[in-house]
Amino acid sequence: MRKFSQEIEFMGATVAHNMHEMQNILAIVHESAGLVEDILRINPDLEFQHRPKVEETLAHIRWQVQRGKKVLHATSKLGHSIDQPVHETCDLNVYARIGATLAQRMARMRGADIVCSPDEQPLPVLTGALAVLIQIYLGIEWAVGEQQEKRTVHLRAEAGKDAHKVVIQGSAISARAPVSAIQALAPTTRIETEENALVLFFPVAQETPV
Amino acid sequence: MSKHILLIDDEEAFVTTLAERMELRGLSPRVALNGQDGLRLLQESVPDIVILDLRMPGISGTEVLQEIKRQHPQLPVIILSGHGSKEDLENCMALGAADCLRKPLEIRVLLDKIQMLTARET
Repeated sequence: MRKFSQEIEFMGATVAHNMHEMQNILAIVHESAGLVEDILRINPDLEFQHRPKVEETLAHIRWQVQRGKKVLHATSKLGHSIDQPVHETCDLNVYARIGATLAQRMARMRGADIVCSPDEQPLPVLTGALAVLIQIYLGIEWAVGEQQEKRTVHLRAEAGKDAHKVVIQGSAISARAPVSAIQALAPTTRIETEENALVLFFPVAQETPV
Repeated sequence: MSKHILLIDDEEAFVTTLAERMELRGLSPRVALNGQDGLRLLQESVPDIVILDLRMPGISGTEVLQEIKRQHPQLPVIILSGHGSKEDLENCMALGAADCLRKPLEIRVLLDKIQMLTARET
């Protein structure tokens, strides 16, 4: 048990550290593209054959850096959620967003988009970050389904009195919701199923976790 | 008058490019690639603001921050890092950092912070 725990903590810490390193690499790409943009900006009359293509490429780089930043942040959070197993609370609002980002590629491969609507305030819950992430991922995977036509999965986090909740909504889902698999990750999570929707209720924690 | 900025970061390609972009905007940046060199440059002349990375070989960003604040309590320091947990960043704020920003970021955001913090100092 200890060996497994050490291995998983090692994986978490290593993933997190290397994601931070990737942020440094992304920052260099970002600044380098920015410098070229600056040079073009201060020389507006400088015409050369491929100027429009260069400007278009710089815009692509900027967009991809923003995309990479989001993925790295989410993966880094995933890493830290593993290497800090003692944390049994988390901010559901933050981890709903992270869960949606981590599931984005899986969803895209099945032709679905995920639209995440977080709450406007922190939603501290008495459930560890890793369990919350896996539960949300399983919920999204169910809502995405196996169909290949274009569709959208909506995920929203909402405040409650005794429990904050995440609602995961798909469309025309045929499979049964993976309730027992989700429940097994954290027995305190209450699960309700509605038509094409899964609602996960997490007990409220009194303080916003670090 | 041009603002003097001390950039302390071990990512050479990042920090020298950032310095070039600042120069294009009329600022006067100086670059140190580690904490020791940063503190040495600080002894030579005091800038208007310091931009400081957290994780560097040798003296860490946190230790550099503590030393800067010991010598120049009023000198604003912005932490700019790709590393750093929320706890690290909160610790830096408690040690007197003016702000903590994450790489990569839009240069406009950084320049607005510099403008705000240096205007407050003058």
